[in-house]
Amino acid sequence: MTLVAATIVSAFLMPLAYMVATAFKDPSQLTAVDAPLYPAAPEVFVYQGKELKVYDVPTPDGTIHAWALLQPHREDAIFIDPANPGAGEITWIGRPRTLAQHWAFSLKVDNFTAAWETIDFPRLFLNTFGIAGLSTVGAVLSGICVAYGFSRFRFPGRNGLFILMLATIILPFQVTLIPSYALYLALGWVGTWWPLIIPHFFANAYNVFLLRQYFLTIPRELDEAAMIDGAGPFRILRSVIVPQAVPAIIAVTLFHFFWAWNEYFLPLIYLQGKPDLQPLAVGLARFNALYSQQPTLIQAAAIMAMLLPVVLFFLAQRAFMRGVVFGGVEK
Amino acid sequence: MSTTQAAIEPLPTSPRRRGGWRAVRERESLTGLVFVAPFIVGFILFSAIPMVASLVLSLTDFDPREPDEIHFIGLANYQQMLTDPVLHESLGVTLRFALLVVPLTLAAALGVAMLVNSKLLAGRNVFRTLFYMPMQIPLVASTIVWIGVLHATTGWLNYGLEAVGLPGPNWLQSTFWVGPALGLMGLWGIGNMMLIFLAGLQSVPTELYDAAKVDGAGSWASFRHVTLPMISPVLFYNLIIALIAAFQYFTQAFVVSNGRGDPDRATLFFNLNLYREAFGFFHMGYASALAWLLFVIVLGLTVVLFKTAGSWVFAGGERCPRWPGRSAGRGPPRVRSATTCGDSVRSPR
Amino acid sequence: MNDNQRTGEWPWMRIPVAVAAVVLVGAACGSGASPTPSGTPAATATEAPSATPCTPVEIEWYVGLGTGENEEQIPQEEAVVAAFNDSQDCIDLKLTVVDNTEAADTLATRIAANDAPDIIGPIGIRALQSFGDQLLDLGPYIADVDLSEIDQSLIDAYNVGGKQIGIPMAVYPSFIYYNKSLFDEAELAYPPHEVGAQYEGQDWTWATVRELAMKLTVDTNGNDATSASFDPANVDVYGLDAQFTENDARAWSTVFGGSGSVLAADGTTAQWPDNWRTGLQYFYDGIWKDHFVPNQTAVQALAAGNTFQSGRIAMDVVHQWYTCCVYPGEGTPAVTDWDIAVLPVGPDGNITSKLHADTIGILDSTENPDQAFEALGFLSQSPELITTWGAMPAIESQRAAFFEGLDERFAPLEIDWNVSTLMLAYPDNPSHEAFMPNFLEADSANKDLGSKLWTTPGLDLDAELDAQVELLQGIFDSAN
Repeated sequence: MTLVAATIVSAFLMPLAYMVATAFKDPSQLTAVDAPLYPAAPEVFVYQGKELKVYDVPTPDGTIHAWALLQPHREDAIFIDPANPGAGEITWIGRPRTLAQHWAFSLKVDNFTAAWETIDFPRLFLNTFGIAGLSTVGAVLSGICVAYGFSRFRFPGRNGLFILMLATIILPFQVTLIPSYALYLALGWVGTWWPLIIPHFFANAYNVFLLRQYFLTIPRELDEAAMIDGAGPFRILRSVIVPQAVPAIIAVTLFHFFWAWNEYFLPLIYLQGKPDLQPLAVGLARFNALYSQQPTLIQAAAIMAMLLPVVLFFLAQRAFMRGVVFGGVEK
Repeated sequence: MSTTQAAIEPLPTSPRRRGGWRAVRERESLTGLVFVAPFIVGFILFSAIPMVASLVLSLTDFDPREPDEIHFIGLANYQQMLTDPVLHESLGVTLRFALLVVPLTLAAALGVAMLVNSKLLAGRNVFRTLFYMPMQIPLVASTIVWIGVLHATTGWLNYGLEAVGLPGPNWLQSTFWVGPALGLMGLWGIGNMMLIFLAGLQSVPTELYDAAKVDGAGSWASFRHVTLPMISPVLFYNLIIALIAAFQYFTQAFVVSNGRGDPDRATLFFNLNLYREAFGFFHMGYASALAWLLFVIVLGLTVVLFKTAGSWVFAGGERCPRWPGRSAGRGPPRVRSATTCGDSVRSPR
Repeated sequence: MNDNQRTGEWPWMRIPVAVAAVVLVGAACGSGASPTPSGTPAATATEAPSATPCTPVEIEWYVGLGTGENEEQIPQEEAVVAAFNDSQDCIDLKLTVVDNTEAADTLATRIAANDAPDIIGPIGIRALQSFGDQLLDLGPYIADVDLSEIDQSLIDAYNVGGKQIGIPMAVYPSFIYYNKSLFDEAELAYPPHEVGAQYEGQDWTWATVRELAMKLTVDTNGNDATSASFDPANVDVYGLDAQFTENDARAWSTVFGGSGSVLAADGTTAQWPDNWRTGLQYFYDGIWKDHFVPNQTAVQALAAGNTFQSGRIAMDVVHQWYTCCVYPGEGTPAVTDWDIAVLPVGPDGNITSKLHADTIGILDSTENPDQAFEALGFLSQSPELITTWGAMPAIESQRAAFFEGLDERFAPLEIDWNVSTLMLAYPDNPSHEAFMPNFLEADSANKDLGSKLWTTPGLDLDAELDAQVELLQGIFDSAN
């Protein structure tokens, strides 16, 4: 079973291996025809101040020589024998384009240094944490309140409101972009974090839907027992619903945090011209646009950008799973 | 909605009824409204007002470059939809993609969730993290990775296919293969779904599986008759989210196709076409109308799903054994929402 | 509403609200306290006008619609802005740099929200078509400016509908960059550097280029494209490309067919002129029949689109601005020895060097047009801006210094920049980026066509172009 899972996960994460391999490559390797998949550099021999590439050259006597290519032609080529450069130019008859080049394993760590130096990672991380963290606090708190309201109380127009809320999920953000921008501009919020944070304090439909679905599975008898003990609605929420719904709350927290972590378009619009305030996704996209011809740098930057959230998730994931198990045992 | 609604209604409780049904009802209403208030306020501020503004825009020829030269043109934008060949193309692209990608991602996410939930699996947390990991890669970056992997001649996927003797298609430059290619890319986005399924799977009481085993059910039968009904609420949630995501599909298509729907409009998804109209051509009025069309389509689909939900989604808070006894050999029992144990299981036809 | 009933519930609501408020206040402090980056020169903040007779007016300069948004260009731009702010006290010039990919969207959003910047640019002819109507007519302002050193045809390129919307600052003719090593390997002579010169006894035409390019194209078995055993599935070196034209069917038509327009002289009828059909057929056959031009799949594998830099393209038609991205650039050079050659005679009997040009314009929504023009005047007189944009100055007397700078950069290579000057005499007129009714939609339709040609073999090009003309006609008609 573990073996099967390992196979599946390695196929699933194959692009990640491609990403890592690319991040350690020299750009020239990406366009070379016969380059290996692992990061490598062409083996070179320096002859009279020129760097010559080394090839496997077969000769009529059946031996294969590792010779350095001085001047290729279509049907012949001039080589230098690195073992004996004093012997001078060797003319070889054959097609140099068909020869196999020598590659040596070589990690180009420079990509990471270059990416690190180009992007102000600490600042971007800090900004991203700030925006994602604050909006997550708002989204989770308001989500719990609203989900509680929808799942436990009858009030006029409740189902209509609920459908309305779901409908906001399917509202394309382009619809509200221009009116919203005008609104935030009037409030003086353009160029600040507010447009990225404040709306999340007013409940997000995804979170509410997930939490409400979960709240519905919490036995109502627990509420009633607490009610009989004299608990008001908020105490029921705090001492019955929230402890029962820990897995869902952690899940919602994670979902929202990572969503906010990767949110790109709105920060771009609202924080344009404010590189001090921009989050990682915007900085990364900017880097991507600048270096689109250098996938090696882009992949290096992307790896650095994902490391922190991956570690974070790994830690939070343990808490998440404990929560799930706890919830399961309780039932 | 009616059946789901039935599940939401709280049980009337007798002690309260004695104290005056009306007053209790009113008090409950107010409490509920207070809790829901953040949504109501936020909805008015950040959705309703901008929505009304965009509805008004959809009746105009608004061009953001010339905000002063705006004309009211009635329903002309909506009329134009009927004869816009590019719009029809984009609807087709989106619909085909949804049909492919919604079942694909749901099945993949459920499969992976069951895999990483298996007791036989060593290092389950590591596997869960690994399957979730692509979610942390910024979407733009992961799409770029996939573009590299899917390249017809230098991509690792085709290297792999060639190694087992299959001809690797030109994934991203062929109008036929670009859809499946984006579907493959979408597999990197199953993380959230997987976690939701996992939470659902973990909440299935183990006694049910034990009961099933006692009744001699194989693994397929217990999946069919225990797992599926028990996780139907999360399945329903994931289905709706997946459907909406498919109709709002944008970023990956944008990156893959240079924002234009290349090759030959094969990736001109509805939202990409909308984006092109709004920000490519600055036909903001028409784009607002398109946004409303999308809104209505997806709303309609969602309502239909909710209507059918009653027949297959189990949504109750009580704990009863859901295993239908010895009737397992034949067709599946259908589980529907209900509040009493006896009602929750319908005998097989 | 009954207050008595509510009082019981409000305190519970207050807790999350209070938490939220505390968090928000914290956020405000956090963002306010964030330190300024040490690496970025604080260009505008340092100017505190002392004892000035005027209240400084803020003028915003919006960069990103064309070049100018690269990391290494921004410090130069900031320096020029700082110099301007130092030079006077009445205008506070502010620089906003936006990514090229988002610049047009963002600008439109800001115009719509009545939050438009004052000055935009550098901006090319194509982008001007998108925002041309929103630009201020500079006619009244430039009456006093000496433009005698700028070619009249360049000035006219920025006269749209009788409105002078920009002063040419930078020009970028196109020509052939060629990789000398690949010519040496094939033992072929280099292409000509002079207009009218022959190549190996043949007139320098696109037909000659085709023959040459096929000999330069070689597969991994060492067969060139003229050989019967040539394997088009495993091409190592391609003879010819026109990189960074990005699907634009009008650009390809112009490169290989000469000047033309999809808009007939009457200003309403769509067409695809015969010389453009010939040119596009040449390009299409070059990709799919003769295989000396890479298709889109191949292009992505060639230095991620910077094909010439991959070392696997022998000849590449690109603009002067390509000096940005060729050796010595970043990374290990795959091309170490290159030069530039003149373009051949096209099917219309003329040489055509597709021209790009950059300018700076003022949005007519500005509240301070005089101040904006003063700033614009300063910017357009700053040769360091043109240098940092990799552009050839529109003003002739500044060009010698420009080429000297390039020589320094590309030493020890000795590039024959005279070719660039020669090609400036053959601009495409009308421009391949010229006006079309309903411009953005029509332009997009032409790129859709380009995408199809670039990815699909076996098309009947004439039929495709007839369909395209019909499509364009519909788009043109809907403009009214």
